[in-house]
Amino acid sequence: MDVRIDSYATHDFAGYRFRQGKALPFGASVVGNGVNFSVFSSRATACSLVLFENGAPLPLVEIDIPPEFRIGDVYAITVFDLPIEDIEYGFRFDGPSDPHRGLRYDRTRIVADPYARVMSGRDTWREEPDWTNNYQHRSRVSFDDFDWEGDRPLEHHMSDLVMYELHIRGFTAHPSSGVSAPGTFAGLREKIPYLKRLGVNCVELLPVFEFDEWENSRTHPDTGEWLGNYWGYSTLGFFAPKAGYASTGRFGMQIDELKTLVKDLHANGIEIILDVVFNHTAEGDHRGPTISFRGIDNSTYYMLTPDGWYYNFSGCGNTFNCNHPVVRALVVDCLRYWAAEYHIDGFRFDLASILGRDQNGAPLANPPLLESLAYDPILSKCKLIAEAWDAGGLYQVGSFPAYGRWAEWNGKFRDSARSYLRSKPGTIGEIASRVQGSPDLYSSRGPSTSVNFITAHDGFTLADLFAYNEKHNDANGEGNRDGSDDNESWNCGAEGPTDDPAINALRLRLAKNAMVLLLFSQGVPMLVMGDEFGRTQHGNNNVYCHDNELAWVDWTYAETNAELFAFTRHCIALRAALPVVRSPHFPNALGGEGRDADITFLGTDGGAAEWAGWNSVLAYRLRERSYRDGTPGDELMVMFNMHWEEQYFRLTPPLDGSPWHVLINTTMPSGTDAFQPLDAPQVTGSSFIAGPRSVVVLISGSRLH
Amino acid sequence: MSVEIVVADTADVVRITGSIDAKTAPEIGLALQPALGGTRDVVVDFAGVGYVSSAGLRLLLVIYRKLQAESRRLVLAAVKDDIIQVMSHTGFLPFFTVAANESDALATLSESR
Repeated sequence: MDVRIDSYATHDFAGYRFRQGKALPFGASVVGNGVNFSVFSSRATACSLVLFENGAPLPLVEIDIPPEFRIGDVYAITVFDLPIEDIEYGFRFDGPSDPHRGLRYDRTRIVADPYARVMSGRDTWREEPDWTNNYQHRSRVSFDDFDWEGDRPLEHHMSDLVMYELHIRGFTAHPSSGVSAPGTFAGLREKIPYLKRLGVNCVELLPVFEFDEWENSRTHPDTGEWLGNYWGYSTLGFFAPKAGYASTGRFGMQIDELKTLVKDLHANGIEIILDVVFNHTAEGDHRGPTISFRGIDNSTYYMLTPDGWYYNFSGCGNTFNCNHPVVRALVVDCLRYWAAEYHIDGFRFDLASILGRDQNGAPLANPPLLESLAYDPILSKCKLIAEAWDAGGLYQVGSFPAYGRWAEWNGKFRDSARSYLRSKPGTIGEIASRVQGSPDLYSSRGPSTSVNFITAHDGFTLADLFAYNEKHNDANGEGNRDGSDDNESWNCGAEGPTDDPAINALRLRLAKNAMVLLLFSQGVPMLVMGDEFGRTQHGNNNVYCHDNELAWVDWTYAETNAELFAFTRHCIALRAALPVVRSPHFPNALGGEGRDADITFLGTDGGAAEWAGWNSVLAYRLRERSYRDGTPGDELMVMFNMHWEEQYFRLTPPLDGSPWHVLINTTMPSGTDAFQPLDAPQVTGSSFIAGPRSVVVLISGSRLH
Repeated sequence: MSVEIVVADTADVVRITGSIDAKTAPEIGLALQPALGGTRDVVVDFAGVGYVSSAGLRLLLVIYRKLQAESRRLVLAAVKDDIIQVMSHTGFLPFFTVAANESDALATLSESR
């Protein structure tokens, strides 16, 4: 006999037994022999719970939630004896329809639960939905139990991370991936040995919250190619993993599949960061579909103009009202859920500056949401990384409200690295800051604030950066108007593929130079999937809509471009071996040549550096902080020669008096372009010639023995 | 759905026919009691099982944990490939010893103890 008072029904309707529910937690929760449903709406006049058999067009039952079940603005009901695996649910709200006052209730719509932990309707990637169905994206009840066997988030120090940005589908969808379930969480799990071989210790996934790949889908008029929402920056439900990314999504087991991936990544020392999109939802503007938030509490969930239109700071039609207290609580609940239930190690916030705007869109000096996340007890060890700008013109790289916690995608690293790598005049001073972890931007916060990247999912791949002057986005069907025009790229003398061996050699060398710049700079490096072996998008810098070979990783490149892969792997291993390039502190540039300085910039003659705009040669000696108190450690001599002619560097002896050894020389052919410290050849003589557009890294110290 | 329990030399063999899901899992749990309540190793024969849902996988894991706590062993026999794949992708597979059929399962148990 069940002795809990609340395990007995007080009401029944059409054979369904229920009682007043619990207002907390929001969403659907299994409680004993019942399911508790709780949903907020401040302006509705009535709410009913609508239950479906899985996939059925018409409801099983619609239970009007009795008015006495409402507490404050929260409707809560516990329904008993539901076959939880076999049902879907939603809500129908009654309320005023008065768009100019921000009210858009629509009794004809069934809307999804904002706290739904499983959503059905797009269970198998690109399986065409039944468009006549009037409830497309359905909420389901989840099992929240999982056998973690002692796993928890890894809590790597930020400065020790090497991040790898990837798209779940694109990473293994290509037939060459060789996995058993291409394009899924399970597929990525099969590639963990590859990630370990490469040496990265953190993956950052493009959005994995449920979205609709069919949103704005179309067929390219010339190519006949299916175009849709491949990237997934358009959330349907913030608590639900994308079913179509799970090979078991058709059985509703996406939670278990994703948790299994997390557990295995952790067992292999790899953290997992999610790219989260709280700046807008998939409901678009006033012309968009009513899926959830709009039909539940439009003026709470969205930033609206005084006459009820949608502010569009996201560039996607609407703006999520992140600093409304109710919405703020949803975001915090959501991230707590992912951290606590999925053991997620951190989050990268898409267009995060929107999270710092008030309800009218004005930037806040002290945004409550950002502060709440920074001080949250469950999130306290999670990485919080801001894409510190938005589509409304707010650009906060270096000034994002950080509370000592927030890191940033350093867009300025990308911009200056690209400029410098193609030898653009006037970039020498800025790149000197970037290699130090951008103290000009983050002086009070430390180099781990700076997530350094040269390429990201958005924009050219690394191979294309040195193969195209212009974007080539015709395959997107938008007349090449979409995507950025400001790429700071250089085709090395021919647009696109070429048979010219000199051009191809130069392209490969520039890619190696880029890897050294990325992986030997202070801060946190981020690579993009496939860049380690020269993945191309054929000059397309905005593949958001392509679910095809343009956007997928072609794994045959791992063999055809084995040289770049081997080099990248060397660089990552060197970063792991040499704490001096991933210090949690900015190097001290003061103190001139002496032991007090952690970094000394030099000219080619071994004297003072030349900072004039025409100079494209950057050289410095970087040493461990232990030298400050007289204890020798690692010392590096780094020479970036972005000039088109070779440079003769006069070497000064290392502080510990031992000889220099060569770690990296991108002029040299594969096999002699990079060495681990124990294999590094000794430099003879007191000078070194760096070839045209090349990078050389020398080392001295105890690691050589 | 049906459950048949056979007492073999080295273990109790449970033959399940039908789906193991949220609807049938409680019944299957009850029907298994004679075997689970004993002291012997257990073989579950899946030859007649076409589908195991999320709730079904949870039932299996709970059974495994109970037997493991009592130092008893569990072997799953004749599990169809698509069920194996689902169990693999959702992380349940590593918990279990799997055998091609009932007699292999019994042989595994008699050999390894």
